[in-house]
Amino acid sequence: MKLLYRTSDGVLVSVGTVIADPLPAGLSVHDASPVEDAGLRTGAKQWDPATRTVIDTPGWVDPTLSETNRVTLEDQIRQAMASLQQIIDAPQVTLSTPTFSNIAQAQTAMRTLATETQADLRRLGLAVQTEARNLRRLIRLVANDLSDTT
Amino acid sequence: MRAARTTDIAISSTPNMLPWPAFTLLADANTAASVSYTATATASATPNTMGAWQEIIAATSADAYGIVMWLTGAISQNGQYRGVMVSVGLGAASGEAVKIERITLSGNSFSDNPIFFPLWIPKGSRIALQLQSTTASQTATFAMHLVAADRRLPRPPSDLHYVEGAEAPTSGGTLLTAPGSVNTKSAWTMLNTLGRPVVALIPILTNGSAQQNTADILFDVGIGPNSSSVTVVIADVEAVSAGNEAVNPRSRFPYAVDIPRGATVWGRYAASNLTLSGDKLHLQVIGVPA
Repeated sequence: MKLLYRTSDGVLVSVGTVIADPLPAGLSVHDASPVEDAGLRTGAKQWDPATRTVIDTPGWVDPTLSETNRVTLEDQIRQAMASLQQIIDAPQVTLSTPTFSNIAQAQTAMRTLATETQADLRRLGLAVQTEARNLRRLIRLVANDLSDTT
Repeated sequence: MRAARTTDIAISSTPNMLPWPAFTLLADANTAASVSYTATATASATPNTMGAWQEIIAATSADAYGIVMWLTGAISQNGQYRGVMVSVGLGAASGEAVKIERITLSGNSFSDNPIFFPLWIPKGSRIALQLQSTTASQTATFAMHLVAADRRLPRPPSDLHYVEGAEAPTSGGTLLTAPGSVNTKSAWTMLNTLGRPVVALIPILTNGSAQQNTADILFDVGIGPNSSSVTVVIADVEAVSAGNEAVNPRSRFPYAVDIPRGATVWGRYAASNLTLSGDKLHLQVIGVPA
């Protein structure tokens, strides 16, 4: 949004996005920033001819913010602050809290897994031993056959 | 069955044309916010002086045959009179040309009763508003639709719509003489003499005081050389004063007339509530030139 004003006294002449090119003599342009543009549209900001800038409208109150909304928002902010304060002030957590109960459950699960893995490994070891015995028996048989032949 | 003749084919292939003007809203809207184009204009810090032009539409999307315009909210508080006028102009910033000058408003009038202004607006036009008020730096927010029409209809004028009865120094219309009794028309009040012939008039009735009364109103617009020889050209337009300082005519559209240059325009009204007679009603008419 562009604001056209008289260079001599800063009085606002026109506001818009389409401006004459070239500008008539005696006029200057102020390019409103997005924040200024939004404020000008709502009335929160206004043009100040003295400083040739966009300033906050003195005493402006957002008309869309009703008293009920203001009170509701303040309550919500207070509740959020109280919750944060509780967390900051909270004592050391115990095993009874939900968080640590979940961790305890995880620990139990890991322990169970480890136990089962141990059993699996034991069974695997036994299987390997059995296979080794069978292999040795086979080797002896082959060796006996070879000696008989010779 | 006879063979089709050339004329039969020509007639059947001619598109139907409505016998009356019908309008189509153009797709000029702020779709990001689901509203029509709106703008807030600010009056000068000096009372009864036009403020800066405020753009409402940067570039129209198509040729338009007119605008429908309304105030989107109250411009005064109960118990406070604020005379407000708005002008509509076309052109780039700093080069605006006034097309409809000094439409008067009061209270929250305008807000539920949009006004249609026939006006030729070529595609790509920038439309801006300018506001003045009895209250320094008064703001008012307006919404606007563009309308198109069957292109075979004659174009509306693109020249200035001039307003009779607008009192710029007080940001209001012409004060009407009050009626002496309920439901009885008052004496005629003169608005002005026409400087050019007009084919339509758009009457604007507004409240001219801070009084808050409830009344039904009927008003007339007439022409004539003097108050004893007035011919009614627009009769019994209904308006309502609904308990606040607003006065809302029920219909705001151009009334077809055929008035030559030099004719004098008059206004009068009747009200269901005599209390209203102590208040002030302002009338102005916007002339649509031939």
